[in-house]
Amino acid sequence: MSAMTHEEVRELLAAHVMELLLPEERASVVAHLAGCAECAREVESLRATSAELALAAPDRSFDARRCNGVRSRLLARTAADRDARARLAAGQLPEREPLSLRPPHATAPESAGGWRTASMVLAASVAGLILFGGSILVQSRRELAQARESESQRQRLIAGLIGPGVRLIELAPTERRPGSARMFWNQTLGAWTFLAYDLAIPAEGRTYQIWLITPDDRRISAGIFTPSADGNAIATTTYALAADSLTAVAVTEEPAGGVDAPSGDIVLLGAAR
Amino acid sequence: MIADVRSPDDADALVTRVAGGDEHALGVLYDRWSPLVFSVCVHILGDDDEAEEAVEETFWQAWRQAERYDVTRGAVATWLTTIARSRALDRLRASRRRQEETMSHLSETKRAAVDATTRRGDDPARSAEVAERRVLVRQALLALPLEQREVLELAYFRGLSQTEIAEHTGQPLGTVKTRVRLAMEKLRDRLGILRERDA
Ligand SMILES: [Zn+2]
Repeated sequence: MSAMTHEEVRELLAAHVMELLLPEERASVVAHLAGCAECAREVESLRATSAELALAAPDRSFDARRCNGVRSRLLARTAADRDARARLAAGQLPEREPLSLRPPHATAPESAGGWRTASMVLAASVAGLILFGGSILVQSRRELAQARESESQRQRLIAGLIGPGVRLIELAPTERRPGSARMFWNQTLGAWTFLAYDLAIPAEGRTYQIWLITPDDRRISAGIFTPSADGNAIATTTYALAADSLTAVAVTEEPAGGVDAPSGDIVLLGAAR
Repeated sequence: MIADVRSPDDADALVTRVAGGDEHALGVLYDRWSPLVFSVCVHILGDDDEAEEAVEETFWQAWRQAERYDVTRGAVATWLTTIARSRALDRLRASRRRQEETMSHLSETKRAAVDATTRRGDDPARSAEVAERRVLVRQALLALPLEQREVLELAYFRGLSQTEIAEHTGQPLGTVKTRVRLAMEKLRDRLGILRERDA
């Protein structure tokens, strides 16, 4: 198409900002805009109008189940993304385990004081492999292209892991402590994914421990974790629990290595709804 | 530009945090804007499941592109709804390629064009200023002649090209082009007038 006149371009600007033009029309308009300040200003102004037009969409309620489902998937994706980007930027990979995840915490089936713990498989779980999978991340060091591929692989795996049947438990800090956390419970897979933000770094020799609290007041250890320097942490585990058997999720501060029954202060607490 | 929360700096700061890789900030952004984004997506796609996917893609793109967000160009709400429209239209066009659109859908669209401009009700965005903004945009649309409102609906929310609009409405292409241009210009002027009166 031959070069358009200023007047011809003006006619098309509204369609241009709504991305309605054919490729050749669009190319002509873009070429003209590069050399015409008046049309460029007009485009900015129409673009703002076009953006506001979206606000005319009728209100539709985003039901809570859908809304939470998307939120869960999104945050699982961003957590993995942030982790991958940090590693790529640093050009390095964790030597062994990521900072935020510690090996399985062995728990006794019964303990004193009515607090009972159950054994849980940590780190070695499918969830752990997906979020922190050594083999996938090792590929990412070789080449960026491969890293992108592996990231999408991770996302696919995560999407499968964090499905629509996931329940979300929001944990809030107790008293005036910093931090917050979310526990994603995939009931179908018995997979638990715990994401924490802005936590204080525990003192030397101390750690955080996650507890699943049941209606009959059992405190099941869901593992221990130490946040990274920015106060964030991800921990995953698998443990089959009946759908009606969760009252709350709590995080306590405990001696390094964890304990069989909670003994320290509750740092974060969230009721299961 | 419009302020989309009580304190616009607050929303901008949130996007800056998202750009810095703060997913907690993304959660806050999501909680605040996902009802609006869903409304846009479901209006375009007409299907809750598809809209749900588009909402996820919208916030995922926001996460990946937050550093490109330019505070001088618009409010957070319109930044997100612009992304939402693109992602929803991508999905709509993909499904249209799979399945030829029926005329019955288009007649629904005609009705939707009217609904979009007349419907009132609770605003799920829970943001008073965006709610006011939405009322203003609807009022501005309502002031347009029906045929201009219809081309905007088909172009903006159905993603039809001007040629497709001409085919579907039986109007000459030149008429469609004129209507698109007049509708956008009038809408802009009208929004300017309403905004001044409101201020
Ligand atoms: Zn020009």
